[in-house]
Amino acid sequence: VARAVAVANPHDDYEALYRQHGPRVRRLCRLVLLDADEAEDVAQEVFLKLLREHRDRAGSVAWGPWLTRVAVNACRDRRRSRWWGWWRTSGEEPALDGVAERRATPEDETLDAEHRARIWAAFRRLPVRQREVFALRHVEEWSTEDTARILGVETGTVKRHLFRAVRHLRGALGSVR
Amino acid sequence: MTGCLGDRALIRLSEDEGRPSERQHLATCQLCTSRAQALGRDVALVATVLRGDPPPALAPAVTVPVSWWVPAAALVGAVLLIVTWKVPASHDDAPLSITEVAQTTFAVEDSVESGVDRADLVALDDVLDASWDESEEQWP
Repeated sequence: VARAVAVANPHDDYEALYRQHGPRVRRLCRLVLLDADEAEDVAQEVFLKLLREHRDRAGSVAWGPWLTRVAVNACRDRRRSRWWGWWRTSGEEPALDGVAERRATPEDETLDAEHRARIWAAFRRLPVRQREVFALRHVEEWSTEDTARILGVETGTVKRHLFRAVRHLRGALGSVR
Repeated sequence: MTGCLGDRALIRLSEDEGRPSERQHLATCQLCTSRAQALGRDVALVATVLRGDPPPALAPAVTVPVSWWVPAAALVGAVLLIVTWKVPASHDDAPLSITEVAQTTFAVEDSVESGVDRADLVALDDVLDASWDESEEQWP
């Protein structure tokens, strides 16, 4: 997609947008869909939309929030698609190769694989709306208002889902601490 | 300390919200302050784990999510089964010809096998055929 974008628009910043937001969009899709292959497909759809949209609206859009909103909606469309709910792999943690953007912190090093697995498992058990909210608010670090805008809900709804998600995830952390 | 904040209030305060009274309590209560700090650490820890590499993948398991269509499909299946159910055709009610009745009722061979005297059966046949001469033979 990046190559196509670059060829179609060699003089503008498509490629820069792809480089800047690609890993983040992929990670968000994987956190929401919990399926690496589906997430990759959806991320490509998102950047194809960016390709079309950028031609008409270059310079007039804040692409970060736009990409996030389009990614969330594309994930929802994918979940609603006919075959999504029938057969899908579960029990496999989303592979995030190439997405990790930071070095291991001391906190990481104190967490062994079992504890990480427990946190991932707890996250996977969250209802999808709570996953969306937690991923946007705390993983992607959007504000509560931006999260609400991206999801198309009230800020009160975001807070409610956030509270439930945090309570559930802290429960999983109980034996980690 | 009494009147300590609940988890919901702590989460609200971590979002830079909450009532002034809650904020005031948090500023003065050491227990709630440490709870709020623990909450912040936990959320940061989870976010860090989710941003990073996941643990080695577990063996994938293919599952079929159970949803509304499972009982619906079972119901449709049951209805189809009832509708298409065919009881084996019974011939009990079929009309029989008089010949069949006679052959069954007076089956000589079957009767012989069951131990009836053959001479009596022959006589019986003759009676039925109306060829028996009453003067020739007396019944015991």
